[in-house]
Formats: sequence, structure tokens, C-alpha cells
Amino acid sequence: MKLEEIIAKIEELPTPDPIVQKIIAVASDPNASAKDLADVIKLDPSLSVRVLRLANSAYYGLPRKIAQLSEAVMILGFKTVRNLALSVFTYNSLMRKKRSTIDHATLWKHFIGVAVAAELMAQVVGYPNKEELFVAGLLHDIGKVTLEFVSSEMFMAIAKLSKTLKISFFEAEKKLNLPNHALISMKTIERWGLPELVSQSCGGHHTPESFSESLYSDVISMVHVSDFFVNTINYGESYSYGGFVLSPYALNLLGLKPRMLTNYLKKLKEKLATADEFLKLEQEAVS
Amino acid sequence: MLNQISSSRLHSLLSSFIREIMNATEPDLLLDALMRIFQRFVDCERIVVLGNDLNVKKIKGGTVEIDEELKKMVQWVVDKHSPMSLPTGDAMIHIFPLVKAGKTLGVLLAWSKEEIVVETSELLRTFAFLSAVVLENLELYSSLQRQHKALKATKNYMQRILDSFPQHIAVFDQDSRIVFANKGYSLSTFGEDFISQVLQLVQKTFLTGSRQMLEVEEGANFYSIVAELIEYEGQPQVLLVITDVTNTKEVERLKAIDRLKTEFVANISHELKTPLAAIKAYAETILTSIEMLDQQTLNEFVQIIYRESEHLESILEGLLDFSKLEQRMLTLEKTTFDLTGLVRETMRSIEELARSKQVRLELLTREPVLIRADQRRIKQVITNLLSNGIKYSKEDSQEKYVKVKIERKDGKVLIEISDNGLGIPKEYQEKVFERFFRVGTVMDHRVDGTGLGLTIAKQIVELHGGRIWLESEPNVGTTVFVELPVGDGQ
Repeated sequence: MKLEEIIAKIEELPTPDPIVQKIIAVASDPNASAKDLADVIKLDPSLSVRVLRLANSAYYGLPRKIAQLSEAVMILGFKTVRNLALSVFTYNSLMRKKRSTIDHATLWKHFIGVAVAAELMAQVVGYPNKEELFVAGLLHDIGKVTLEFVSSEMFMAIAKLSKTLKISFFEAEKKLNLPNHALISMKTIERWGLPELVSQSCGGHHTPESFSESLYSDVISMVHVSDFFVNTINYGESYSYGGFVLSPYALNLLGLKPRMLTNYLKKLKEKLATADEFLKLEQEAVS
Repeated sequence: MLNQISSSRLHSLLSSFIREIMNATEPDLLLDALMRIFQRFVDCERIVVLGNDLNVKKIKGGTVEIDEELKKMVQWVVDKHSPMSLPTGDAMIHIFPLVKAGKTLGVLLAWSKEEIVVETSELLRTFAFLSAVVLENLELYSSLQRQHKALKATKNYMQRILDSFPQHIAVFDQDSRIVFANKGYSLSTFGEDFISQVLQLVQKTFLTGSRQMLEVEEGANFYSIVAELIEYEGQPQVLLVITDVTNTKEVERLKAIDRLKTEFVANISHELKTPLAAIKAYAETILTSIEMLDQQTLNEFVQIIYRESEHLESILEGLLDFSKLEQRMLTLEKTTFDLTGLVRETMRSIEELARSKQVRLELLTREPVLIRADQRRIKQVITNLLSNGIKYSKEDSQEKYVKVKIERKDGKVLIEISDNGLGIPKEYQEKVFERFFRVGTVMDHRVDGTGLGLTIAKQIVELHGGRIWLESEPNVGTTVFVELPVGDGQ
């Protein structure tokens, strides 16, 4: 199957529901206020509850409880609250297909792992716009979900080859002459109306060096390094079985020294220990 | 509504901010600029900057109290590197972290009635981040300045320490320029010769790359010079240390003299004992068996006793002279006399010794040479030199001689005493004039003597204002030169 055919299939994928699209739009509106964003989220009561729940989770560790959505927006920021809404939405679309050949929960764990890792990476390298890194991390492998949705046989073939040859999912795609999931992630995200920064950094997360001319080359590198570490510590599963490569280009670009990486890994483990709430979104949906 | 930002307004704000941070030469000024920028964006009643210890550092617009709850929120902002707008009653506190890649430099708090929109929030965060970067640079700059000061102080301190050293210390670069010198070196008054030797040593050190040492005599002092290759900022340099070792040298010299004196005592005892033993033995024989000795034997015995007494006397005289010279008590009794005649007379008196060794004595000068000097002392010198020539002749040689030539020129008299004897090895040629030195102590004991002869000769010649030196080749012969001023006796 060619990329174009897959893209055609993507068109058939459910777009984020109107409320999520609105949330994305408001969070990107320069003149939007906290109240504006809160008002949109409130349209979906189930989403509101889960966003508030995440805002009060150990991951953010706020010294005081947040009762109002508008308060959450003011305290955590527009983009963070947008990210929470997007997390809930992505989780929903991942879990929608009940009978699947793959374990969506462990894949979701990988998504959250890289989201947390990428946000932390932004902090370590001193990149101010860290909320965008969270989304980029969260959605970097969304292409895998798309691929599985389009053809689960194809997804399983890639996963199987990766497992047998102990190569990465990305390498396996190459061997099977299939379009890579990073590009599919990019195409998927473009349709959601998220900033270009997010779609680009997802599209290049396996090949940061070939995006050296991109405006977002540093963000791409950050997602790449984060993905590598989350895979290495086996947080969740990305259906990639070995052949993880850490690009020296990315390390150079970000000025990451071995000592910084050791430190980063230590902090990442601490952060991930506080991210449990993100893994239990379903329970909230049921309640 | 300040919240609405047109791009032209944003550009002018950015320009002002850039201008302000460029002019900020210290962290305080930068924080002032940042506070002004915030006031232009958000209508604030009060604006506060906390330091990295989260204590109030700067405040604008009335007093402020940071309660425990607010402190917790501020800490959260710092930990998460996330700005926050904290609703409190009817107002808001906008909290912005001043962080740079994990490093907290401070926090900015702005009290306002106003809510801020997405863009303002993002912009202010960018300003806060930018300020943090500049702030850190400024702090680094100040710390650099402090370090520079400390470095200077350390340099002075080290200089003072090095100045207190008695050594002369200097560092040279490859062009032999001095890049460092302690007081000892910079205040030194070494002569040109000395300096040129030093520079040669420095160049040699650069060429060989290894440690070089040299001892130099300058005036009455001895210096030991050590040059060593060092490196500074990748460039080779030479560290030079000059130590005045005059005192050490003097001690060494005294030690050597002491050693020679001990040897001398042993020698002299032997020297004195030999004639004494002969005198005693012959005297004893005469005493116990005078009736049995015929006239001729008795005569012979007494002759021997007399000769040995004379020998003893000469040794004692030599010792006496030496001690006088040592104590500088010897005075010259100058008269005008004919040197050629004196030499001839001396040759005659020593003829017997020469004959016993089959050495031919020859005086090459016939005309008289008048000189004003101490006749007795000069005779002593000539006797010593002639007897040396005879004593150190080669035993197995056929044609043994000691020749004397006297020449007058330019108010000076030069006496040349040459022999074809054993000669003196090169390494001893200087030493033979030193006190107590005898080539014999080094070579063998075939020849007797106190080892003082040449020393006394030298001192006598020098007392006359003259010079004595020699040229010699082992197994070929020796020529001793004595140069004396004619004196006013011409």
C-alpha cells in the first residue's frame, strides 16, 4: 500500500470531535482568555471532569486543589489544559476499537511516556515552549494507530518483522517498503489543526538529521531523544523491538552531554512515577 | 485594552527591551528593564522580583507580603518552569519564572486586576526566558570580574613570595625576552658577560629541551644557574634560577684545605722522621762504639749527621716560611743584585743533588741582569724550581737536563726553567701551586718533599708583584716561567 492510499484512508478516519477542534482553535487564538477556553471544555461534561482530574493529578503536583476549569487554565496555562483535553481525546480514539490485535493500553503508555519525556527534555535544554513538546511527544506515534486502523494486517507484519529481526518498527517499515509511521503521524496531525511545530516534530522523530533545514529541527531532535529513552526504559510498548538508535546529530544540536543525559534519565523516572493518572483515563470515562 | 497587541506595537516593545538589556551592565538594571516591560504589557499595581532564594529582591509599587501559600505556588512555578496566573480574590498574580535550562535565577510576580490572553502570556514568558539568559550572562560577567580581581591578587601574592627568595628568578620566552622576573633578578647588577652567558644557556635550553646547568664566577662571587624548560599556554618558556653559591663554594674550599692539611701533617711527619732517624742512628752508633770506629768512618758518620741536620733545617725553614706567608708576616728585604749571578750560585749549591741524579744543569744566559728584590727569597724560589726539575727527572732517561734562561723586556725579567723530566699531567698543572699539593701524593712516594715548595715560590713571586706559571707535557718535560718586575734597581 502506498502513502497516498493510506492518506486517502486517513480521510476516512474520524476527525477530532467538534469540541476538541474548538479547544485546539481557542488555545491557538492570541486573544482568547481563560474563560473562553474553559467555556468550550465545559460543553463536554465528561471531558471537563477528566481534565480537572488530570489538572489535580500528582503529575502537576499543585499545592492547592483546582475546582474550576477557568482556574485550571489560568494556573496551568492555556496550552497545558489544551494538552489535557487532547490526551483525553487521543485516549478515546485509541480505545474506541475494542477488538484489536494490539494492546492499546501499552501503546498509550508509550504515548504518555514520550509526552512526559519530551516536556522534561524542553525543560532540560531550556526551550520555553514546553507544552508543545508534550503534544508532540503524545502524538509522535499516532501514525501507528492510523496504520492499524487502515490495515491491522500490515501493522502486525511490521511488528512481527521488527520482533524477528530485532530491528526497529521504523527499520521494518523500510524493509517492507512501506511508508513510515512518522510521516503518517504528520499527515494525521495536520488534519487535526494542531500547530505545524507538532506535526513536523512527529514527522521527523526517527530521522532528525534529515530535518536539519527545518524551522523545528530542535523540537524534532527533542522528540527523537525522548522517544529513544522511553523505549530504552521499557515504559509502555511501541511495537518496536530493538535497533533503537540515538542520533548523534540530535545530541549535538541540543548540546546534550552524557552527564546531562544521566541526570535527565533520573528525573524522567521520577516524573513518570507521577503520571499514573494519565494511564487511567478510562475509569474516569465510565464514572 | 492593553491585551490587544498589534505587531507594530510588539516590535516597538521588543526594540525598547533589547535596547534596555543591552545597556544593562549589571543584573539590577536588567531587572528594572524587565519590570518596565511587564508594566507596559499588563496594568500592574505592584511588581516584585524574587531572587533565586525566593526572597524579595526588587519591588515596585508598595509593600508586599509573600505568604506561605503564595510561596508554595512560586516554588511550583520554579520547579515546573511554567508561568501561572493565580486568581486571588478580585485580583490576579501573574508569576513568571526566570529560569535557564534548569537553573533558577529568580521569579517575577505582577499583581494586576487584568486577566491575560494567550498571546500576552506567551510573550511575557519569552521575555522572562530572555531576561534569564541575559541575567545569567551578567552574573557570569560579574563573577568573571571578581575572578579577574582574585587572579590579580593571587599574582601579586605569588610575586611577593617569589620576591622574597634569595635566588634570582626569571622566565624567558623564545625570543629571549623576560616575561617574568622576581625582585632578585630585576634588581641584580650582573655584568654584560654574565648576561650573555645566561642568554646562551637559555637558548641552549630551548634547543635541547632539557635542563641546563652552569656555574659562573662573577667578581668575587660564584653563581649556580639552572635553566629549565616550562610551558605556558602551549608556548615553551625557560625558567631560570640563579643562586649565589659563594658561601657553599667557600665551605667546599675550606673542606678541601682541611683534607690537604691532614695529608700534609702525615707527610711532614714522615719527612721529618727520615733525617731524624738517620741522625739518631748514627749518633747512637758513635756513642756506643766510639772506641771501635776509625777516624775515617767516624768522619763519614759525622758528615752524614751534619747533612741530615741541614736537610732537617731546610724542611723546618720551609715550614716556617709557609706559616709566615699564611699569616702574611713575611716581609721582603729588597736589594739590588745580579740575577744571573744568583742563578749561577744557586746551581752550584745544588750541583751535588744534580750529579746524584745525573741531571745536567745549564745556564743559557751569560750577561748580568740587575734586579731589585729580596735576594734570599728569590734564591729560595730558584732553588725550589731547580730541585723540582732534578727530583722529577726521568730515572731511565739518558740526557737529563735542567736549563735556565733569563730575559729582560719592558721593565720585567722572565726566568725560564725547563727540564725534560716526568712532566705534569694536564689536570694537575693548575693545582701544583696550591697549598700542600704534590703530584707525588697522587702518583707515588718516590720523591720526597713537603708539597709546600711551589706554593711558597708562588707567594714569594706574587709578593714581588710577579707571576709564575708553567707549561708541561707528561714524559716530555716542564717549563716554569717566573716573571718579576725589575723594580727600581735598574
